[in-house]
Amino acid sequence: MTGQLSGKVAIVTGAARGLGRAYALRLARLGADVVVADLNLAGAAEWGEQLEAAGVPQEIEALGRRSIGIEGDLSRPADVERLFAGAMAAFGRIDILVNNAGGAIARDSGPLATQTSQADYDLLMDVNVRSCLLCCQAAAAQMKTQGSGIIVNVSSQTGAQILPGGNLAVYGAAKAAVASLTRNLAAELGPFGIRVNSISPGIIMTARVAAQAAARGIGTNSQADSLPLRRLGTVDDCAGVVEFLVTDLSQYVTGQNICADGGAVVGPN
Amino acid sequence: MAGRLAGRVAVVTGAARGLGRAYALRLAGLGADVVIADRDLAGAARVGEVLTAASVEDEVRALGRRALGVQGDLSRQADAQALIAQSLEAFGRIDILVNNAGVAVARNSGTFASDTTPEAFDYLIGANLKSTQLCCAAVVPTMKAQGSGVIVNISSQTGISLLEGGNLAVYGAAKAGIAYLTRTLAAELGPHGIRVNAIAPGIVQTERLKRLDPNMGVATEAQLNAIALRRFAEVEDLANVLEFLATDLSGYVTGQVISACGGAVLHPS
Repeated sequence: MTGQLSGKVAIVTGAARGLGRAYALRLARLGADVVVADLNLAGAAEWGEQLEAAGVPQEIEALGRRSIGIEGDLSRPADVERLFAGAMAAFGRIDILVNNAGGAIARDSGPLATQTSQADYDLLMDVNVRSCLLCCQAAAAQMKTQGSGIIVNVSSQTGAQILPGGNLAVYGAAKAAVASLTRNLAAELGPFGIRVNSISPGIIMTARVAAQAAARGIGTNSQADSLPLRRLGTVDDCAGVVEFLVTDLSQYVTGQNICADGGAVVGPN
Repeated sequence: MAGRLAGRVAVVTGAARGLGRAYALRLAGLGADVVIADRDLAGAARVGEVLTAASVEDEVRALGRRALGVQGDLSRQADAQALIAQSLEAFGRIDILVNNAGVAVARNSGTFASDTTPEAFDYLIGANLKSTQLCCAAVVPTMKAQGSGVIVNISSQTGISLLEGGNLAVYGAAKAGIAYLTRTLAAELGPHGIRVNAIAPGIVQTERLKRLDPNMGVATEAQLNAIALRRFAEVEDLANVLEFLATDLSGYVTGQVISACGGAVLHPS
């Protein structure tokens, strides 16, 4: 369905590798020009993820679309401002924002609620919630003047349902906050023609998950066997849901959180 | 994306008019052969819905696909089984089942929980919940044998959120039952490669609704203002969500109830 998004401009955060890269490439294949935002635009190499060109922006250009890369820490308002100013300067409008940046990262403490240090709490909330809110605020201002826009936030299976034993507790709380923020933004921005939804990926075999699977116990065969669909997710699985959420297929869908998790979460979410 | 469902066979219940017809025509447009099931295959004329051919079957054939019409009362097991048997006889396989058949209001009964007659209760549960379960049960052996299949059930905004004052209470209970059934079927059938999801449509401007008495309390000004996107649904909005759920775009999505309500429901669902 090439061309479905032709003439549209998208920003994808955390797009230098993994899922964000898959979203960026899917949007480009659908016809959009794409701004690739990341803390580290050369991040793919760190996890052995093979690119088809020197960087993700060059991969997008190879698909016949325009692209720029902007590096920054999106939990800092100044960096977010610079990202959106750069996008506007390059392409003149913003139709789609995919807030993919974030992660289950911790520097000096364990993954349970009682183990999490104040520094890691701040880090998890900053990279997952604050960055999402700041980018939504910046995008909403521009989309309101356009009278249309689409925001896709990335929550998580862990935000919709707890992991065994309460693992990744603060990450889960942050992703639950992203889902709540999504619903609030949908209520606020719907009258301006702006749709806001979220996707909640399950366990997805990115290059990074594959590299760390054995050590972290994430992405193992036993986890696949516990899922109704009996397999772990692929980046394409998630890109399919993002395609739904950024195209007219979801033109009457807003404020919804869609799990792409092979059936891991089968309760209301 | 014509051809995305080429070679697939779909059964759509309640497909002689309205939303079911839109689902059938969308699937045919994507390349599927379609079985049109309805209690009354000539039902469109009764509500003043204009077809582009003599019947929905003929509309499907005009799109270059094969079609079969099967009349029956799907709240009866024998009719549900006959539908699946005739579909198999005609086309040899069933890849997609859309359980759209249903009814919101019963004759000679109130629409609140306390004034619904026992006859109306049985009718509403039978026409909505029982028919869905019977059709799923009838198609599952075929999909298991194929090792794949997609089931899309139709819940309702009224099944995941209350109407004002508790209106359409038993209809809502039946549609809540369909959402629950969808999740249990996803858990049960995932290991066989069968995905099961539901759509929860908001208030849709079908031909039938446009002719409905405004005093019924459906499609009121207050309801319009409660919708984030500030418009009622069109049948195409719902057919778009069906396209997502019936194609590989949702290949890793199962057990989800997707609210297509313009943001009327903004809580987990």
